[in-house]
Amino acid sequence: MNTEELMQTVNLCRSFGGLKANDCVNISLKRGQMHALIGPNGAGKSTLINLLSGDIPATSGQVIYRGVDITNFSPHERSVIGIGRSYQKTNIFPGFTVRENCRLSAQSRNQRPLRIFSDADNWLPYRYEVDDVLTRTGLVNVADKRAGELSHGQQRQLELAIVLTTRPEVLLLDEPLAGMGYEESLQMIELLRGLLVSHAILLVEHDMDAVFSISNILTVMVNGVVLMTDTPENVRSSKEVQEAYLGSEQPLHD
Amino acid sequence: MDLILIQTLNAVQYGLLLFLVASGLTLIFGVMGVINLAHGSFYMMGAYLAFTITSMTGNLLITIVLGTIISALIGAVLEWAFFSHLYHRNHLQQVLLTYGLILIFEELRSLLVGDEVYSVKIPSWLDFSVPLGSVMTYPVYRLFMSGICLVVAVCLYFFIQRTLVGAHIRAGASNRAMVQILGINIDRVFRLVFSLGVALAAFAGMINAPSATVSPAMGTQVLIVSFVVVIVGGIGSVWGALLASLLVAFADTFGKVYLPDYSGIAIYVVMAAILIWRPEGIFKS
Amino acid sequence: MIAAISLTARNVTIALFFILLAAFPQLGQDFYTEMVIRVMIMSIFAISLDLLLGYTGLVSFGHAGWFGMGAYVFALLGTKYQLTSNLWLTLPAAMLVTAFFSFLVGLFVLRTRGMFFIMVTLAFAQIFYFLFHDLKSLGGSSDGMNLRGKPTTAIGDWIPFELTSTNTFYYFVMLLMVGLLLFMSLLLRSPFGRALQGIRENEHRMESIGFPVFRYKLAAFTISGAFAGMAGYLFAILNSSVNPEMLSWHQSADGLLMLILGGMGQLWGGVIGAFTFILLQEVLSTFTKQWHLWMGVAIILIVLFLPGGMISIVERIKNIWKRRFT
Repeated sequence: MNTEELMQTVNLCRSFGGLKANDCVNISLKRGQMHALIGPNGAGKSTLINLLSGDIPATSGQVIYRGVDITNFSPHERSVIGIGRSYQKTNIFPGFTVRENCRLSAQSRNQRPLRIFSDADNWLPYRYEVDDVLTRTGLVNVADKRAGELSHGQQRQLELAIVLTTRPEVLLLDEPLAGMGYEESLQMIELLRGLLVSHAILLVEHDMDAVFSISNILTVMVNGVVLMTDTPENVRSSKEVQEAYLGSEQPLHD
Repeated sequence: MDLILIQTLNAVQYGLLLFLVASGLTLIFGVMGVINLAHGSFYMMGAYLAFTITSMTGNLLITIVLGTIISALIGAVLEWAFFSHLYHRNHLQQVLLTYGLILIFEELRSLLVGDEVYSVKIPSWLDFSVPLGSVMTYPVYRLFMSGICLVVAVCLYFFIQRTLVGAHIRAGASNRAMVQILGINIDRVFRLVFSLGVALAAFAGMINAPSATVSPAMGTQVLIVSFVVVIVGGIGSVWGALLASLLVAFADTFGKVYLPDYSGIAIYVVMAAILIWRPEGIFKS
Repeated sequence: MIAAISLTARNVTIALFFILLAAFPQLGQDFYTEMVIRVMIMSIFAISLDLLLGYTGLVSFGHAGWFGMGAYVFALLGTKYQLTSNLWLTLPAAMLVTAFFSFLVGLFVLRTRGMFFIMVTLAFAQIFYFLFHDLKSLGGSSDGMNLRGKPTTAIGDWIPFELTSTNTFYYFVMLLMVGLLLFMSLLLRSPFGRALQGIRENEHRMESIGFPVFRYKLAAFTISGAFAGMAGYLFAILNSSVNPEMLSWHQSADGLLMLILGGMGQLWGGVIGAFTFILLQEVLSTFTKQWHLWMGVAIILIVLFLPGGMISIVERIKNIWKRRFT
């Protein structure tokens, strides 16, 4: 299996005033690996994803992508080099059709801002991309519906479709399955498995069944610190992790 | 040297006056999230109130007390009738709605008191000058103004920082929903803040009336300068409004003396400089 | 079927509009012709603001700054310093100067958001207002300047037309307005225009998927400034004078009002808004001396009850029609 390291952090820290939301986090994302990030609420998982995607700046430490220090890169710069991120709180374009949502995303790869005579709707390269991603995420039937009118589950699918259309190499997925029905979740998991070969995926998820069934490697965070990073079996049987979860409301497995 | 002292005193007086107006504006921004273009009209309203009431009573102190109470009441009514409906509207709508309000206020003023420029007499017991150095003198009324404004500013500080109601206001500014859950009547807090803002602006207009003239354009002038103060000081920050008011007042006063051709833009140059350093104002809340 | 009818209805209306517009000068007196020229110039102003407001979602309260600046460029070139009055030099100059300064100001103000952005754009327009009001070298006077004359159109020895004739000026302005409408309709279906609308819809996500949002906003700010300058230039010619009040926040507010009246983010919103706004002003001021009061009331009513503008009425009619016939 290809274990090329695509993205890593070095002693990444983020403080909010006196609160250390992320304290010296070291994490590594490798191509072909489904890396799950778990931990009780308030552990700092969202902060870490935001630090990786550039949505918030780091207080100290580094984010490295393919050997390049991207700590000071803005979100759009990171997207351009191949980092894609989906949001826990659905972050789509509600007033536009599903098709337009994806088309915008496709346009981000080929922005052509000076082509004022071009009809963006009908430019074939965008259309090809859009049709492809709509098929893969199962949204073809609702392509011309306003995104704001979709069901919650469909919106989550669109959330993923938008990030997939940017053709990233690293996927940072913040609770992609949240609010999805059983069928939709299975579809999504299959989709993610298919992507795994060529991508590095970081997954923040609360659905423990899904996490343990599809991840290769788990990082457990508690109170802003990485408790351990190991295979699912080792994490499941670790005493420390059990205690961390017993200290909170969430069971480690049903 | 004496000239610099006089200009400094002028700047301090203008700055404190500006603070009263701008603090109301920044509080209303910070607590209710409303942009209120009509705020300058309240200042103007105060000045015209001063004129009308002194014509009837002849006593400035009574005028100020009465005028402030009337202004606060008008503020409460306006908040209930109009402004409370603006809180959930977007910025463009707030801007245009309050702009419409300015037009209405200006025309009402025109109908009620006319378009002339009026003056208000300084009460005789304050109408003299004190010597400043060997040659210059300085009007006592202006010192009185600065003093009163300072007292009001200190009272405002204590009110916001040290009283229970003030705590409600500060809480409402940072987290409206939480305040409601805690059982505090947020509507009343908002009405209070708004009336306070109106009263402060009107008070400033009243107290300044004897020193300057009462003219139709005064509302607009003070409004835009107040905006600059809020930009420089940071939205919602009363401390920022104080610092910024003084900064702006000094820039304006000394600008007029040393660079008369560019005096109009002096305050904007200061604003631009501050924005380069701090894009969200000195104290972003 | 319904869609086809509504499309034809739309095209027919537009065609009729242009025919009327083109025929108008032949019908009336100079006074009315000038009034329509004024409406067309204000349409250009409103459309330029719409690029910012309706399409990118930026509420600028300083747009009059560019309007007045364009006018003053002509005043300074043609009257004060008498360097040139040639249309082919002064109009591009007006647009380039306003584009340049809106680019500079944009670098500053586009780093701010929300209420702050609104106030800061107002403040920067005030800077220019005071510069033109106070500095002698820029025509400094609260009364403004009277202009020496209309621009000449000579290219070498050839004079294609004379702008001194009201009708000719009318057609010139109409040509520019139509040109701008065409440009806007192209822009809006182009990748650039789509990106702007994406920014209006969800700026955060646009940044997240790889669009350099700041650059797009700056481009929109600059382009809209240039076209506002063009409108100001034309306005100066219409009135044969310039005045610092062209940069006042009242003028900026008027622009916003026109768009609320007409409908933001719609190609025809600026035209409809300018027309309705000026009509409203004329009607109110004929009926009462206190027309400001009624204008204020009208503004409040419109913002509260018709925030989508006149175009939303058309949409509503279309929907009722659809329901009746489906």
